Amino acid sequence: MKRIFNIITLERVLNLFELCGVYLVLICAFAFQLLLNELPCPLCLLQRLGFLCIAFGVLMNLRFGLRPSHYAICLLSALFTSFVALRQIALHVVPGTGAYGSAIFGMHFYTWSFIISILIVVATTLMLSIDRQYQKTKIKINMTHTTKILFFILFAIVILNMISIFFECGLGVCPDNPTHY
Amino acid sequence: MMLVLFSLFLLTVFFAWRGLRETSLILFAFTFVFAVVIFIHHINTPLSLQL
Repeated sequence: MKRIFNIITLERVLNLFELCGVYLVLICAFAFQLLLNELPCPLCLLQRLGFLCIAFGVLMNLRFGLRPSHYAICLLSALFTSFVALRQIALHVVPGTGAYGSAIFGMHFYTWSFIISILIVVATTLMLSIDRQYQKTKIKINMTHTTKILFFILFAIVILNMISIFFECGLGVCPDNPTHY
Repeated sequence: MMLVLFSLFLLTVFFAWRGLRETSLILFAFTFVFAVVIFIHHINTPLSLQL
């Protein structure tokens, strides 16, 4: 019983780390948007949504307990994000087509997005492969203060993105190459 | 379109926060499918319009 509990605690901590990483990515993207006036394109917004969905899967693990279906949400979302990022890489891979946004450590946001989402796929696969975390225990999952704070951070990121989208695209389709709000 | 997509996601997170697991999972499925549809629509757009 104690061993199962330890594994569950370990898995919850790993989930917490993954969630913090995803939040960091989303906050960095939003900070770059505000500070350097780099407006997100439709593919960038889809990648942001993909990261938000990954965060949602991890939060489900923290809120309702560790389940394979929650890991599946993370995996599907990470795969979706990687496909969208790969599409954007493909758009700019031809010489002379330029790039979108500024580069960090020599790589653009969409390249980082692809690398990070593939890393999340690998990390989530390793995390879900430990069978003992799914054994039924009498540990009741309550919403802890940490989970509440993490939920509020997610709410804040989504609402801030929605405000930004409203000023950028209005209620219609977002422009492919936005230059102003 | 994007605003609708993000609103749907916000609703999904809200239901999860309130403890309604099944409802939030169903809403997540809708959100995900909608996102995939937008992505496929984007892929279908000619490249010359995107560069």
